[in-house]
Amino acid sequence: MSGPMAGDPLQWAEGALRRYWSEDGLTDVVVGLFLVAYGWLFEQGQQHDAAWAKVLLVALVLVVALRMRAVIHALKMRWVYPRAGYARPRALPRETRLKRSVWVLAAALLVVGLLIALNLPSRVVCGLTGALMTFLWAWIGWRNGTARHFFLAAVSGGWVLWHLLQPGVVCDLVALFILTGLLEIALGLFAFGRFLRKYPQAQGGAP
Amino acid sequence: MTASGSSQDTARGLPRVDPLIHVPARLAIVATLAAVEEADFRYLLRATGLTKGNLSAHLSKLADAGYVHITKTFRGKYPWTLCRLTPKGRAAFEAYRQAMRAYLDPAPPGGAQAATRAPDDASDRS
Repeated sequence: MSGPMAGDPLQWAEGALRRYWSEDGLTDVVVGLFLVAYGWLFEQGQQHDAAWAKVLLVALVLVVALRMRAVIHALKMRWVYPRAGYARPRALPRETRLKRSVWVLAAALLVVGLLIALNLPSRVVCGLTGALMTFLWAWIGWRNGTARHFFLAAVSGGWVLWHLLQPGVVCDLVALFILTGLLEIALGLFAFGRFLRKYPQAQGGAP
Repeated sequence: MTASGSSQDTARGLPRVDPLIHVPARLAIVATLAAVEEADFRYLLRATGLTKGNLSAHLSKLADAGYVHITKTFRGKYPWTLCRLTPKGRAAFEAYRQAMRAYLDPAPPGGAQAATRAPDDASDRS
């Protein structure tokens, strides 16, 4: 076996699938591109009051929410599966997915509503968003066992702390999105290069 | 203590598990397939660390028992072998997990542990 199968064999297999899914770095490249595009369009919409940027921003969020999995699957179909094998993760039941989506949407609306109602200073909003991003990177790193996500958590957390502790420095969330997005693209491409070296193009098919 | 007596003692209290799944190589295959909707031969090779011949033989046994459904198709000009766990295979794997869990984490006397014991063991104790 490739690795000890201690404890529950199903948990072992699910862990192996998560590591396999994140090993090639393509998901990071796609998420990084999204963060950079989101930051840039948000900046255009805010600073220059460009209507096209706001429309594109909404379209981008919708495309990511609805089609990101399909985009990543298409990329993996071209670059990953022929080299390291194909595995389709189990889809959650429709009801569970629906419930989860409703919870996420409700939580997002609650947070936005609270931020508007409390009229918090921009530094606090920036600090809270940065803390959330830091937590998410660290959680992904812990779940997938990937050092690059811990690095992103450290960068994100450090960036927010530095901006909050420096008096007179504006905490710019857009810059945080673009910075972590660019870093994630770079780290994802690095992981992808390593993956291509580890799994050269297979000659012939599997029996 | 005789050899037969020793083996009897060792066997006492062990759960009855599906011997088809209990073999480490097949357990790895079934567990890997239980975590996914479907996977191809190359992924199974990589995930289980088995050789091509070994994996092929074990997959055939699991397919003969109705635990795994194998589809042979083509991707471009290359053959592509897709495997997925059948509902029967998934149920057998779940039963295996529950039996092993109950054995490794025994409940207080009279609980789940007693339920997983072989009937002849229960009669030995009475």
